[in-house]
Amino acid sequence: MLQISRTTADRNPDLPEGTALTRSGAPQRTFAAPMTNASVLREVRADSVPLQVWEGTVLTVDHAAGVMQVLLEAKIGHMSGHTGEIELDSVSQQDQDLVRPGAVFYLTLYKRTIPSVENIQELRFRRRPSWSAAQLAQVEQDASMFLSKMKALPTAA
Amino acid sequence: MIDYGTPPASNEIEVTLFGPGYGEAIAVHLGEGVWMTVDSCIDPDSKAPASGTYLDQIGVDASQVRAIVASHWHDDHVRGISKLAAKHPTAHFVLSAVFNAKEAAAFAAAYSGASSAGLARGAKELFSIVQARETVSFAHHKSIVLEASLNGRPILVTALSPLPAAFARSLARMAQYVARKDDSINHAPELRPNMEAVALHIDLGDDAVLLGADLEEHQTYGWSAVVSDRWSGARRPATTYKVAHHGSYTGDCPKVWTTLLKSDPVACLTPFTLGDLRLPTDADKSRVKGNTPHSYISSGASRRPDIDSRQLKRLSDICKKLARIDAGFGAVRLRKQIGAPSWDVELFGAAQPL
Repeated sequence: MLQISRTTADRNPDLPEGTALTRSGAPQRTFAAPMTNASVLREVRADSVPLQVWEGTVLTVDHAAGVMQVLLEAKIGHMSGHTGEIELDSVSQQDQDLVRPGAVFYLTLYKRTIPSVENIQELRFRRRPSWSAAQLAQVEQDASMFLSKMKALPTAA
Repeated sequence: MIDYGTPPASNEIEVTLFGPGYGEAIAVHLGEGVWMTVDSCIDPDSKAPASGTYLDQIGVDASQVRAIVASHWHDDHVRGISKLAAKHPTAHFVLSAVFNAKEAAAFAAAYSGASSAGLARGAKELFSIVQARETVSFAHHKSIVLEASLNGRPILVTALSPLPAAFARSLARMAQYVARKDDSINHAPELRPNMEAVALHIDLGDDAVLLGADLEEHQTYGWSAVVSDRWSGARRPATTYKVAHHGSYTGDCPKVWTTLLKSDPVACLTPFTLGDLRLPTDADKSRVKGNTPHSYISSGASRRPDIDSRQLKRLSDICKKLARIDAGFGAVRLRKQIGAPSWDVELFGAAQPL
């Protein structure tokens, strides 16, 4: 997972994080790049074993609260579907542009036992290509088929 | 597996509402063995559409289902509806008139998964039904969804919505998401608030039923506009109400209770759980109970996660407010003999008084 360090601007320990001092000494907000939630998301290694893969669908995104509501379906074994809430900070920087209602992601729980027990979670969004001319032609054909089958019901007086 | 017992007698009317924590389905017996269904959700035991499982179990033949209505295309209302439609090939399939426009057809086609991997389950369900059938019917305000004379008793099922203004508004929103060259392939948003849903009025000859779908409140597009319409206001007041939009305040219009319903109707609803959004809220429950003392919910069960503890701890590190979508599946069944003054209420599974 991509790790981005917070601003390297000079910092006054008495000011909140992301606040730097200008030459005049007046506090000024500086850009602090979003960080992935490193405490729960760690780098997956070649010898990590997947315990469960949850296929998720984003249902709603609340940018003000910094969270997304999701629907989760287990891909390994039989398990009930669940809804839940994930902080947007848990999404890697390169996937942030993919976070929108309907987007599909995979939340994989890995385990690694050698040299020591290590639990690793990975959150990856499915990235899609652009619509091709052939796909759009198919969509147009399908839409025509769809419309051709529509039949009006009688209307009440 | 829930034991639903015996089917209704031919002179009994029935409305059965099924719902886990996320999903809704309705089966209606209009009398004389004639049935219709509205929306679809999955029965967690049979893993099949809840209405289909129910009708099979009580011994209803597939040919007895005359109409299948998809009130709207959202995931929680159409899960398994394509299987239900395939199981009842002689029933006519009805969807919102919003889909009788090129923008909506293109929306459904693009997000169905026919030309790219599935992008919206709801669009996929509806598209596959349209693909498999010769024709499907679309309903809007005043559409006659089903008309019959059963043993001399006139039955008329009509759509109260979508209204023409809502139709135009929904199309404009769908047009924003129509696939275009070089646009990246994304997923279909749910396009809330919901003004395109098909709310139904069922006139049984001597009584009526109101099925509110997920239609939300709005002066121009939603419930206020429906109840202020002269034709809607002239419908026979109903004694049973499937409360709109899971009892949420966004689907609440006080005039529905005074215009389209008799006093103290039987009200039933399904819950909706999505992260920390849990409908109905306590305030919603109080409001519904303030309108009628006869209110029921298809599932009042806990939504605690059903995941082994080792995985749950790991998952909870990143995903908060986990809730099962099919916890505590239940059904509210209302039956009454034709001409009887009141409904008998039966609760199955996790269903309970509100």
